[in-house]
Amino acid sequence: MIKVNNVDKSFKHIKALSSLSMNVKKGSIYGLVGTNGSGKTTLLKHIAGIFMPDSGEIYVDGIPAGDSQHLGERVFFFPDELYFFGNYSLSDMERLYRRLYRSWNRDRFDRLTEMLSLSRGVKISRFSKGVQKQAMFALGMSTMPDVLLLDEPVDGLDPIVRRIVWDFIVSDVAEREMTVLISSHNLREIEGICDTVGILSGGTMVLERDLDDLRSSVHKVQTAFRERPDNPYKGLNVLSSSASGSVDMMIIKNTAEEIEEALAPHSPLILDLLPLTLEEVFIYELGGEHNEYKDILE
Amino acid sequence: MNTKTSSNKFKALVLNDMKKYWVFSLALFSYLFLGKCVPVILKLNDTEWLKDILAQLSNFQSFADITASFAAPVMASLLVFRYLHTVSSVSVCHSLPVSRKQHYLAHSLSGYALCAVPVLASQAVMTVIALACGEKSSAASFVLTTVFMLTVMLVTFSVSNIAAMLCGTSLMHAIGAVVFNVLPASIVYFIMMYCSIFLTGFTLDGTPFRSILSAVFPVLRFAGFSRVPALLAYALCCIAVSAAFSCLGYLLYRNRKLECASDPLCYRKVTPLFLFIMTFTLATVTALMFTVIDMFMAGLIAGFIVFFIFSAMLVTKTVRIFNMRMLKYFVTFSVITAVFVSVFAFDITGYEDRQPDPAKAEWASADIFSDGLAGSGEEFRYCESSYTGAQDDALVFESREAMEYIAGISRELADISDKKGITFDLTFNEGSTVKFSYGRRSYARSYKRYDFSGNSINSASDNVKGLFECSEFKEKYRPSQVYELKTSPARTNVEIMSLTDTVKFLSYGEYDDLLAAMDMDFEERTFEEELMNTPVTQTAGYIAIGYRNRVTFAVRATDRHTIGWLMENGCWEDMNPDNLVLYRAEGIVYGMHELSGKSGICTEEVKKIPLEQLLSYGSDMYGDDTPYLEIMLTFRNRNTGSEYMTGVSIPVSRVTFMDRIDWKDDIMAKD
Repeated sequence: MIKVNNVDKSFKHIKALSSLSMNVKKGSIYGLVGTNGSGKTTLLKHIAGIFMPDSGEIYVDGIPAGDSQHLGERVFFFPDELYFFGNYSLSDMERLYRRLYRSWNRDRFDRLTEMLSLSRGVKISRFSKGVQKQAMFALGMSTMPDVLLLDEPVDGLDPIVRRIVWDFIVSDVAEREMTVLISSHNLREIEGICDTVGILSGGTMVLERDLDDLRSSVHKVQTAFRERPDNPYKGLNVLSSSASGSVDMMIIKNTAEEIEEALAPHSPLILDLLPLTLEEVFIYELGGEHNEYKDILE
Repeated sequence: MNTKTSSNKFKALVLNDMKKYWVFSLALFSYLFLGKCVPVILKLNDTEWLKDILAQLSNFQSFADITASFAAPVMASLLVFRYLHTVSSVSVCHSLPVSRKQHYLAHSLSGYALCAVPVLASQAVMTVIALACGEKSSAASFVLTTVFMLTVMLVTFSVSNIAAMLCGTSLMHAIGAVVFNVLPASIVYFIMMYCSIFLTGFTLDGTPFRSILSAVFPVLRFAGFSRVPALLAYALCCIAVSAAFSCLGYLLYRNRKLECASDPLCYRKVTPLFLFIMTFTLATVTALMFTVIDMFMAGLIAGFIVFFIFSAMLVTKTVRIFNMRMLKYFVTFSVITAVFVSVFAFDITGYEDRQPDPAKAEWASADIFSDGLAGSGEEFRYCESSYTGAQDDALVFESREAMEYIAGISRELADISDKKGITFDLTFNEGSTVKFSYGRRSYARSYKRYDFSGNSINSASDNVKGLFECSEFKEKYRPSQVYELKTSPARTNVEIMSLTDTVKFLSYGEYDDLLAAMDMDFEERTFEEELMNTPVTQTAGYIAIGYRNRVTFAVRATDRHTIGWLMENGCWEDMNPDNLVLYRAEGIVYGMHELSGKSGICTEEVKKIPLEQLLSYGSDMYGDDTPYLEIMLTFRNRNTGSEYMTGVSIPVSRVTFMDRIDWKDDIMAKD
């Protein structure tokens, strides 16, 4: 649905995006994770058609990003820094959005404002930052977008509202095959909702993985043998190993089936495949605990 | 996207702007209403005043109209495009399903409507008032003014929008909008100023610059639109210009990088241009202010350095401007400015050398006599024996002889100017203004104006003498009093005055002989006699021509016809210096300090001044640097008791003061 090919972007002398490529499948929820200044917002603004790349291409559903005539109503960008017209109430904003979006869903807007207990007649500028985010979310979701670009969407939201927001997004993805691209500076914040994660650093995509694949490909394995065979882990991709008495603790990058198949001939007394947290997965994927990506995993 | 959807979005944006900024329109309408409509409504019963004021207001002469026409479009542009100047707003507005084209068109339309609607409304009110008062011509003028204002606003608005597209902050947008709108006029104005300062013969009167200035700065233009076709042609021209600017604005918007919001400028290539315009403009303004202390170049250099630094900080939005890039700009701009100034300072175009060819002129005019010959003293002007033209003070000569003399004067002045190295002063204290006009065949008039010390020409110029004595001058011109008496439609009476009282009263028609005598004296008068404009020294005679304001002028010793008439008619009194007593000195001025005088005895030094000099008020001047006393003296004829008042200026160095000198108090010389 979203295809980014070798995009470069510089602001004056600062390189914001460097040969960046990514691919977001239709109906998926893609988590874009990176530290501050890694290029997340810049990338989202490129996809939303606000910025133009210095080089490279960006397509949304095969249409060049920035083609507001064909994409404008299908893509909704939820910025980190919110902006509402001065003196506008939520009703005023609704009137404007209703005129601009043919796909405007009034029922949904009514439902969302009710769910989020938003006052329609009060000036939005009087809302707190969190409530302003909720208002923007209500407006955005009511445009029924095919692509939703969320830049740090849940910062400042309380857990209950977060839940409502995520539930709404997930149900839209399930029902309408909406594609969602979420940026966050903290992986843990979005790990429960994303099915794909990309890690940005210095304007470059350092890792892009399907979370299920990622989780199923790395395992923490505890083994113990009656008589320890020579090199029982031959053929397996061992990322890390340690031993406590006769029990081995291994991090192996293989599927559960491959691990079981490889160890079965040695008749282990204990063979436990334990789940890894996403944090542990990334630490091992990115090359150890003391790497530069640690911030986004904590 | 179908047309309906597109128009719906367009409409949504326009309505959105209207909803956001309607207060601006209301404020503008209130301003216009209070500035024009309310005063008229409050004085509806004063028909005379109303007629005048309606005529004035309908002619684009209202301060409210002028300010609104220029300020409102700039402000409207600032409002409707301000979303481009902050990161958050530009992200939200440009993530809406609206193309840049729609954005530009919608905001342009709404911005223009925001300022056009209040103008239309206020003008409609004024038109209705004019019609209600029966002033149909004023009502029609209001309609024309409305068209004019709307077109002026359209141009101003479209130019301001270009600044919006080039600039990344509202501050720079405001600066850019003002600068761009006044830029063409400013360029012309600055060139005029540089010409005035450096080219001694340059005058603003009648130069093509004035026409260009009025063309590029429409407020000066409206007076010329007395006819509807001219106004419509102008309006169409404005619309075409606005359309061109709007297209340029759209191209800039289309290619604008939105990430430049909050940067001073969005196109890096225009940075040096902005920097140069700001530096040069502010440096020139500083230099013009420095002309007060006669230091134009010092002002230019100081202003250039100071404002380059400030402008650089502004356009780069940083105080870190001391780098190689800025140094390169500084050097480049300095060279450009030096070249520009040199064009005028060294007269590279040879303006001063291009003296007129009388053979190509149909007429020539020299304004040398209208204000009195410089160096001829106050007496000459005071008595109003200056020479004015037959009509409208225009001294136009058509004879080849006269035109040759005028061209000769022009050449003389250019030579004198070069030799003397005239400074940047526009006028001299002792200077007289000499203006030449040359009307060329099928060509615009050219003017030159020289401001310099008149003494230099009086002693040296055979051309001035030739012009004064030439037959065309003598045929066409008369002393102004003679001319006025001859041509006055009113029945004017004349009083012949002695020093104290009327000695003869002549009613209308009884003084033809006197005027004929004065005519003859003038026709026979030589240039040298004209410069000897002090009244007769052995005898004094005055003719007061009987307006209520007692206009008098001296009779010269050489005016034999006039003196003859006065003697024949018993109006002549001998004025023997032996019979004069020094009677009173008062109105003492020390330099710029006016001091209240005292009747009594004057100084010994004053007594030593020759009578001729005492009788010639104001002729003894010592220039700026010499402190001088200016004393009004009153003489009394010891035989007849008649009094004569005159003034004299003497250097302070020649005056012996009393011990006590208190400038706030009287001063009195020792005697």
